[in-house]
Amino acid sequence: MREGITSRQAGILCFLMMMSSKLLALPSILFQETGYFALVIIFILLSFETLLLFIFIKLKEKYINLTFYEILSKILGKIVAKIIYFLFSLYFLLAIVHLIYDNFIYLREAIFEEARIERFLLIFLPVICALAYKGLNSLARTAEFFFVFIVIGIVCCLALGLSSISEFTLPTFENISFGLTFNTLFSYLFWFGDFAFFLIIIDKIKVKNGFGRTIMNYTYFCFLFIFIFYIIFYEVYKNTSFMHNNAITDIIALTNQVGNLEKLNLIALLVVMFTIFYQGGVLLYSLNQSITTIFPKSIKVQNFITFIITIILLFLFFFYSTQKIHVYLEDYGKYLALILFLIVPIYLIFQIIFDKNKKKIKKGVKNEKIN
Amino acid sequence: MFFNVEKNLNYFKSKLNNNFDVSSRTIMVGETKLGLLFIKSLIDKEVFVNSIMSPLLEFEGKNLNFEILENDVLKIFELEKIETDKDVITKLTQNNLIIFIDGEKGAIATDMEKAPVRTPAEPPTSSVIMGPREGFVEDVKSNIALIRMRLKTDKLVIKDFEVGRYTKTKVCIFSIDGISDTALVKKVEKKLESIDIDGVVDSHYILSFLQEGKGLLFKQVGTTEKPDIVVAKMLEGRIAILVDGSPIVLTLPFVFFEDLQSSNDYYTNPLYVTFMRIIRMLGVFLAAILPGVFLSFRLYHYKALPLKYLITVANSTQGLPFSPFVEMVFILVLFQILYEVSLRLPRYLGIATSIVGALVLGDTGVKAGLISSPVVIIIAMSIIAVYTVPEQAPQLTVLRVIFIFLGGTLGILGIVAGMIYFVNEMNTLNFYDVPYLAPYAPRISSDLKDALFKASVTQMEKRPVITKTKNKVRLKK
Repeated sequence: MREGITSRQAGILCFLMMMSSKLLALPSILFQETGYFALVIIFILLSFETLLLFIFIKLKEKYINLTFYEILSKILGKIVAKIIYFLFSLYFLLAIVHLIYDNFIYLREAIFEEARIERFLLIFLPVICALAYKGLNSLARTAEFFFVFIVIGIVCCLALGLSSISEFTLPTFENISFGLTFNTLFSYLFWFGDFAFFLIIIDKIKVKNGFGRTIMNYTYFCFLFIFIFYIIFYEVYKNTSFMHNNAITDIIALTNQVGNLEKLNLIALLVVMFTIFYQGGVLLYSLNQSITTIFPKSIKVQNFITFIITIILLFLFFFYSTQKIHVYLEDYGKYLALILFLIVPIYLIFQIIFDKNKKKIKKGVKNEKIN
Repeated sequence: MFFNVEKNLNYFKSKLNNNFDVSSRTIMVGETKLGLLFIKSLIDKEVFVNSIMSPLLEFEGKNLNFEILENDVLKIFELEKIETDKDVITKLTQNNLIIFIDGEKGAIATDMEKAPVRTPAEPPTSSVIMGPREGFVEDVKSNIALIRMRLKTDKLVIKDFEVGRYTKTKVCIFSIDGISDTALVKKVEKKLESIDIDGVVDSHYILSFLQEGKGLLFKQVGTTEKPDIVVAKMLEGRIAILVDGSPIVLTLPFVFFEDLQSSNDYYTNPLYVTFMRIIRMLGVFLAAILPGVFLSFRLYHYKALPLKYLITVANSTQGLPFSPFVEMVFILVLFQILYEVSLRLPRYLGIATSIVGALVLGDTGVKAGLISSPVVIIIAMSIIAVYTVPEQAPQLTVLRVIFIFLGGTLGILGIVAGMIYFVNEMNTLNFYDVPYLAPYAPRISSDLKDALFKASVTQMEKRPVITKTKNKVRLKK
């Protein structure tokens, strides 16, 4: 059976992917670098990410049934398409490492004292492997099933955070320069490539009237959530925001609505735990799809055992040097992101516009003939 | 078969191993000799005397043949001419009387059924406060009548099959022409035709053959004991499968959320029903994960517990000889043993065992310092919660054990991982091309009116999309 997901499911996956990577360490890191200007930075980066998705949807509208590889092959040729796919595979792999490392640190601090990364991997790897292996249909349906609970969890965090704000103060932007803004934007570009997976599943989204609008609505919804989250977080901790690395848990730490229900940070913990599994599953699925596209013969022989062996080998290789990779990622990840999320999309925009103009010219000629 | 009556009688008696309850009688009607062959234990003597013997003895003609016998003598409806030895044996074992005529080839079979039939009573698993109390019985004919009483339409289609080399069990597929999905009916027919088993004793035998794929942990076929539910499901576009000898009727296609629905739901206030369904859903979660979650918090994340609760737990678990994991498994096994014992013992002894188990073992165990009261409460809550959705009890019991293991070894992350894994597994299931967690995953908006939330009957204008019915309109306005 050919895999296919609805626009609602695609929208939910976009929501979860966009949301899950930005609610932990990023708020404090951005604040450390730019102070309250982090609000502007996050607004620009989220807008950029939303724009990327918009471009991808336009691409889908143009090439309804083609895979991203087929689109790239058509526009740039097979070799370049394979190179881009290789870069995407690298991105997905690094994103998984990044996801695991960040969340391991967070969960160790929050709930798993003295836990070793091996234990975390023992839980995390089999589940994301199962999610990825079972395919996009079930992955999307599972995300759809838990979506309401995740949204309720986030809304609770926001509401509890809001209730703990003692005094609203307007943010002041000091020592801001174009150079600093540009540098920050460039440095954190890697964190905003969550929609890369969309390109890999682009052919699997069922096209119906208004499918693009549905996906974009979920993205706007998420955009709004994240932005409100950042405002509340900075309002709760004000100038000490940079000290709180686990934003989603810390945002509710000062709430006075606890009453008899102590330990409300469990809500945040559950939200994080649920979202990291999806993100991991989607990234691994995308990684597997990219690899099988680069080496098409492996599709025929792909089965559970080869899948697991490949994944275990890759992870063993990477996890012997997770920390190193994390450092490399911070130093060089932005360059990879630059190619994948700036150069390739810009080229695609030109391609879409250029092709539209071509069609218009052709239509014009036809009309002249008829007249 | 022979032309001679005696030879026929002896031949078929020997074919049935000369069993004591295989009886025969030879009578002269006019100048014609008749042989009657039947199984004593299966025929109704009153019907035999009134409908067969009396008309035969009152016959005033000289000669008798099958045509006269069928048209002028016997005034009963079901008469069938049979020609082969195999048919004679089959009909004999299916409560029929076989009549041979001397000098004529073949025989006549007529149904003389005297099966012990239970009167339709309220099934123990799905009792209602307000609503029909009839339940199916073991006799398929009575069950067919119970459905026909509610579906008075010429669109009702019944296809019957004989399954089981020895039991020759009657299996019937019920569908409504124009509403049920014909592709599904054909698929089920094919499956039933392909069954070659020695015997079918209950509908669960058929259920096993109707299951698809590897997802054996999850229930794939709907089951009910109530005719009103069967009819309601058929009107939604589902099909029903009745098996002779079983009061359990199977329905297809089946989705997980069907089991959250109870027959009570359709005879009471929709708002109340919505609330109760949410409670049932909560019951499902509690039944499966509560002991695992408790164990994970007690073992790994005790700091995440509210302080007052942590103190209570710490006080009650002080000085226990077992580790929390062993204690949890011990109590769970104890409860399951008590449950099994109470099911199998005679009713009065069962009550006594429950008292011994719950009061004596539980209370004394806690007082003796062998087990802690929070664990007893958690396990008891979890086991009670299973019966908010009794149809899912086997699955929830297995899941509970898995989650205890996950919580005890991997902590809360293990529980979350397990939940995601099992929900994902359920989402891979497409039994009879219907997503298992529909209408929530994938979301089917029109079907949400009778899922976790229940709309009024006046608002349910269309049949569920998942049944792939052709006739979608249910309520015309």
